[in-house]
Amino acid sequence: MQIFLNIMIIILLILGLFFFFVGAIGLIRMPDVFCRMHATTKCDTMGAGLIFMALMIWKGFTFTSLTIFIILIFIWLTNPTAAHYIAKSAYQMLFKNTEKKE
Amino acid sequence: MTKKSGAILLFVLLLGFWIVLATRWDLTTIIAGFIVSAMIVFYNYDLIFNHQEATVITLRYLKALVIFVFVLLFSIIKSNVQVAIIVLSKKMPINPGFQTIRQPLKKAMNQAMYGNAITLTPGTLSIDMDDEHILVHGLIVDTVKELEGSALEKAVIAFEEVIK
Amino acid sequence: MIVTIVTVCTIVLLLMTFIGLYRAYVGPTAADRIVAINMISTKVATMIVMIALVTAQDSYVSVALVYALIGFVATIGLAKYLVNKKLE
Repeated sequence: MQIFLNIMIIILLILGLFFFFVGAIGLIRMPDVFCRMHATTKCDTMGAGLIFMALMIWKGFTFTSLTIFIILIFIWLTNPTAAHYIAKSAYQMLFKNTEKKE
Repeated sequence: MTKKSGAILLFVLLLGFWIVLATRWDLTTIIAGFIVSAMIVFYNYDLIFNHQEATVITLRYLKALVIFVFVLLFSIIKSNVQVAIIVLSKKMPINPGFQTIRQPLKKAMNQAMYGNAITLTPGTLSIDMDDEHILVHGLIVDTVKELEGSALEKAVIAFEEVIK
Repeated sequence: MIVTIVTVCTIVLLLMTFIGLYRAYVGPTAADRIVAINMISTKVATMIVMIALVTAQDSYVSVALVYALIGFVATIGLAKYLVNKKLE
């Protein structure tokens, strides 16, 4: 049982690291702000979720796990909201700049 | 939901949050948390909930919520795999652009939830929203129109209908 | 054994944070920098939780909650400042 749990923790950690890595590579490679936001928002949400899940399995059912769960829910709620707000302001900036040039 | 039951819900949530952060389960902690939560609820009573936005939590509401969360989780996994495939391929097959789609919801809370869900679905990112339209940025702009009539939109509309 | 693996993961995550820092340094527009900072704050919150569990100081997990909160508010504030040029 313990070995099974350990293997699951390791798999979840590696998957989480992989998605974080994809997000970081996307941040470098994508051509403009909105595409970069696609990569970072989705992959950060998923990577943080997987790593926190692994840590929750490691700690078992304790108060520490509950705190980690609260952080997880907080990140899952706020990350898309922050991305939405950045995208909105970036779109307005784009609009302003093209208006000025014309 | 009346204001009183909203206050009770907020009180229970605050007390639970206090106990989790205190990481202890004894009498002193609970009494201190009780007093602090009661004071927070008492002093913020005017701005807790307003009647237009308030919803009644029923069994059907919870069922719609569970379906919505499962659809959302599935689409999160799909979108991550898609982003991974796009980013790690040599020449990225993207065709970014903006697209307006219709917006079926009335309540502000549900609109916010739908906007966040769109951000987490494959290849879309919500930018701006009014009462009838959502402006969406798509990695591959032709696929954005597929959001109209997708499983996610159906789940959200079911969610809205249950609340009435 | 798990402690070692989590430590290694923390170090890898730390190295990935520098990629985001590169984008924050180079980034052509201000919005790019804000995206990079948002990503860094998520990664740092994850790293704080992992370090707290590796060093067996479980009460430090709450620090990550506060850090995530501050990162969210900072992102919203910066994005708002970008458009309005003032914070009102």
